[in-house]
Amino acid sequence: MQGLPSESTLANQSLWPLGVYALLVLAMLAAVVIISALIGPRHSARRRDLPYESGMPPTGTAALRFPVHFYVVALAFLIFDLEVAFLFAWAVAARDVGWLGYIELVVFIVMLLAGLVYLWAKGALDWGASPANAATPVAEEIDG
Amino acid sequence: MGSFPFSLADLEAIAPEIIVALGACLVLVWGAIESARKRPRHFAALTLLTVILAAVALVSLAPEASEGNTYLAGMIVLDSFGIFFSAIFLIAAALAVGASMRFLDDHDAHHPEFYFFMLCAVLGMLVMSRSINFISLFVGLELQALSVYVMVGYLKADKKSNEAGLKYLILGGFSSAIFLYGISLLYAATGSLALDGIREVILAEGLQDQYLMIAALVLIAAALAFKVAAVPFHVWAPDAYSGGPTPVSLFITVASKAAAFAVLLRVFLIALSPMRDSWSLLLAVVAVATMSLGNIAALTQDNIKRMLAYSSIAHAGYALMGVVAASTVDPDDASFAVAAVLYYLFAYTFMNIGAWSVVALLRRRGLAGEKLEDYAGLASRSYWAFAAMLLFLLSLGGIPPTAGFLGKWYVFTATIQSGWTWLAVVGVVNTAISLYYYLRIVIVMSMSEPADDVELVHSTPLTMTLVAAVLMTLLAGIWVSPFIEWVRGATLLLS
Repeated sequence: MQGLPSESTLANQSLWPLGVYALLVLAMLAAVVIISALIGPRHSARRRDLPYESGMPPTGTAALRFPVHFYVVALAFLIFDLEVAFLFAWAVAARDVGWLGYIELVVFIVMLLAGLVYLWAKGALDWGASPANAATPVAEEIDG
Repeated sequence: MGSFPFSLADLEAIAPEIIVALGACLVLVWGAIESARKRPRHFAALTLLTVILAAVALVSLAPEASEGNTYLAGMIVLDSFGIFFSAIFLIAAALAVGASMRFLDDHDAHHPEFYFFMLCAVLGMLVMSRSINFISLFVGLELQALSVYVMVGYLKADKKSNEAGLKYLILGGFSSAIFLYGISLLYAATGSLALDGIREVILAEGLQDQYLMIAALVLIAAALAFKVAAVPFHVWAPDAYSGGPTPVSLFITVASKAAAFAVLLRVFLIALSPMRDSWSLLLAVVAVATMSLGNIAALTQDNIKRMLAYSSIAHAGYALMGVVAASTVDPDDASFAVAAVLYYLFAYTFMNIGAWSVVALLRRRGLAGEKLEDYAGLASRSYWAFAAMLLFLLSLGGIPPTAGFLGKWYVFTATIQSGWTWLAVVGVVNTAISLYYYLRIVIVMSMSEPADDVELVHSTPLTMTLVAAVLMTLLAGIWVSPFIEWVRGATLLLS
């Protein structure tokens, strides 16, 4: 809880560089839009309006239904990915925070482990062949 | 290698929180492994056991509370104020479990996850009420809020419940962001996140960045007004309370509101106490608007859940009056006012849980009976349910010899003592208005013919919740001295 310098920097410092910067950003953006509208080439062809798919003709709309399963997996991935961020933060300070930090980290990971067990037992990690998933054929849904 | 700075005293001081966290994990994992649908009652029992164990830990901590020691690097405090609120949350959770079981069975939604989220919400509330640092305060607040959003939207097949959960999530997330913004401005102005640290900086250096401090104050006040459902940040409350499952509304109208008041009291009476001239009038205006709008809107409701939702908004207004009264400079009057708020919240816990559990008791074609006409002829159908509802409504309206009367009387006295006479007058007028709609329910219950397709579903746990609520509503209104002693001891250590 060490304080900031007692003269708060916020009120005293002059803000004009920030204002100039903001104006520059706006001018830059306006220049890009206006100049490209003025001197850019203009021709219309049917293929030009198609979405770019590595040179292949598009096969269908992008708004297709896909299994909600992907969402759960992505969510689980994010959670454990975030865990790594905490692990790195701890690793940097491992010697300073000592055993207390270690124990707190273990508690944190065990809590996450409880979440993993939950995901597993609920079948969120089963891919494809389980009876529950077989009821709605994945391939057909994508085609439809 | 670092030494072993691990202090058992820290662990001991947060024993209730640890127990609730372990219970929540156990419910979640066991519920996933076991095919839980067959025996959901086990999880209710486990939740109840967790709450009771946490309560035991809390009681064993109580003797040390008078010292007001801080733990976990000054994040958590062990004081009687925190213990009082922790007790309210645990009581509310236990009563809510009793009210939930049959309701969830009937709605085909009795899953262990419900209890997991309830325990997580309780954990968040416990942390909220015992935090004296904005970091842990915010973590607790968010844990509580996120769990509550899920609970409100818990009935998957019910569109109203989904809508309520979504609205609550979006608006609640918004208010949390505002709270965080206020905290960051406060940090910018004072360089501290500890509640007493902020007060000391303001006292030592005066209001240097006055506009920054006012902005922080307004943002924090707005966010906390949202959390207690005070006007003009109340619009989510009727939708969330009436759309959510009845036992969830029962739980959150009491526990979430009390937790928000714990934060409100701590933040305003510790961190922002040197700015009391800036916030007392602000909160007074909010209190008047909250009481008046809550009561007037409740007059026109035909849905009993919406009516009780507006009534809970009005009650937040009465409690806010006490917070305003606590802004006085005289420490005795301030401590009396805080005690009045605590007593009010204590009384409100039981009378509101009671009224909502009668709502949970009633079914119309198997689902929740929530129209006012569903209550027609309740008196001839079940005398006991009628008598209980009558008691809760009288208590909510503030009629002796109930806890609600004493709570109101206490708050009004504190308000007058602190020199806010006009505010107390507004409160009394509002009480008179509120009697109209409370008694309207009574008239419907006793004078009309019963409807055919409405039934009362009896279940032992719900009956136990009702009995406990009835007993406490009466007890806290008649045999008052132990409760008053308790709340007088639990007032903040103001300096």
